[in-house]
Amino acid sequence: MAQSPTDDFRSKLRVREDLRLVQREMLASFSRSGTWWTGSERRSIAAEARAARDCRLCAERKAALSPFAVEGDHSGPSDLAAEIVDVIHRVVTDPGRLVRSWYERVMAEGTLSEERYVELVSVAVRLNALDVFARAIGENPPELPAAAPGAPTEQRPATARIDGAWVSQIPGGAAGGEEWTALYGDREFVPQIGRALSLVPAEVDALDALSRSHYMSIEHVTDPAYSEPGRALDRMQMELVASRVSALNECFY
Amino acid sequence: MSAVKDGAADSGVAFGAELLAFTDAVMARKGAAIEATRKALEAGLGVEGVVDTAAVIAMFNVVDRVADATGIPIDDGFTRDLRYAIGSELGMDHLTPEERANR
Repeated sequence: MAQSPTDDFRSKLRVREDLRLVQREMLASFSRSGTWWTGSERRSIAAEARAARDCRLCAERKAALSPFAVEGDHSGPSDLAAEIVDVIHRVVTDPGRLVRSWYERVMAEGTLSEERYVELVSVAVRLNALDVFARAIGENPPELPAAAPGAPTEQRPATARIDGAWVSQIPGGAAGGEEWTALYGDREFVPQIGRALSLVPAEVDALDALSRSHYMSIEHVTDPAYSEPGRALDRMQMELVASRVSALNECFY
Repeated sequence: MSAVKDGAADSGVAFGAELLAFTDAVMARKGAAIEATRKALEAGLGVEGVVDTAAVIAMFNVVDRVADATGIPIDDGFTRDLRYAIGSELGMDHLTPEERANR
């Protein structure tokens, strides 16, 4: 039997070790307890994020003039509450049409706190990244490990407040105090994308580890002259791909 | 910039057409197209180039969703000016952060 193009590519495939290490750690972390969810719940969030890609309701909503005009049931494996499943599916399949009033309705329903929302977003979107990478290089999606026991730490940063985003963040400067320094050191400016998840600091660290290995450290993102050493793509090539992905995701950022 | 919007124009970036074709195929989840465009990209940038392109595609699927789901504003200064200039030039009709915050 002839070798398929994917088999041919996989026989030559060498993935940078730093990239593999981060992906392995990320995958394991989905089944460990986090700051606001147990390992079992995080694993369920990840599984639901994976299922969202093939959800018929999500496809109908994506095609609709308004994503809020189509009702129905999501297809997925989860034992999570329906409201939580809906948030996961919307974040994965149609993020560019999320609006503040929707977020405020989710919060008003009371099923999710903003801390749990932020951690949910982080887990769901990072699982999606693993699957996108696997698809691109011709591998199967990685299997989620069994859930590990343990309780969430439930530690909310004392300084967190609304500071420009929909969700609370650790504020910059003196207002963020030691909590800012613990995450960002002595940096006075951190791009919003680096602050987006700061209500759950462990997820900021996870996002930065992902960015360092897959793109560049978030602290270098706003420096157009910076190029990550040891990469096969130069900065222009990276930005071309990044911009195209954002355009296809209908993302303005 | 039109290369970013429609994926077909000459971007002026080395192997830009191959990068965009592969990106489009991965985002569209089309197996045969992924294989074909991956082969073309590998011919130009090698296996390492394919891996690093896959990594950037994966990362921006995270960045976009984190930004959209948390409602962060665009950073002031250079980045803000650049984003709005690009959006205007490309005729991007999706929602700006301000529009999303007011709906």
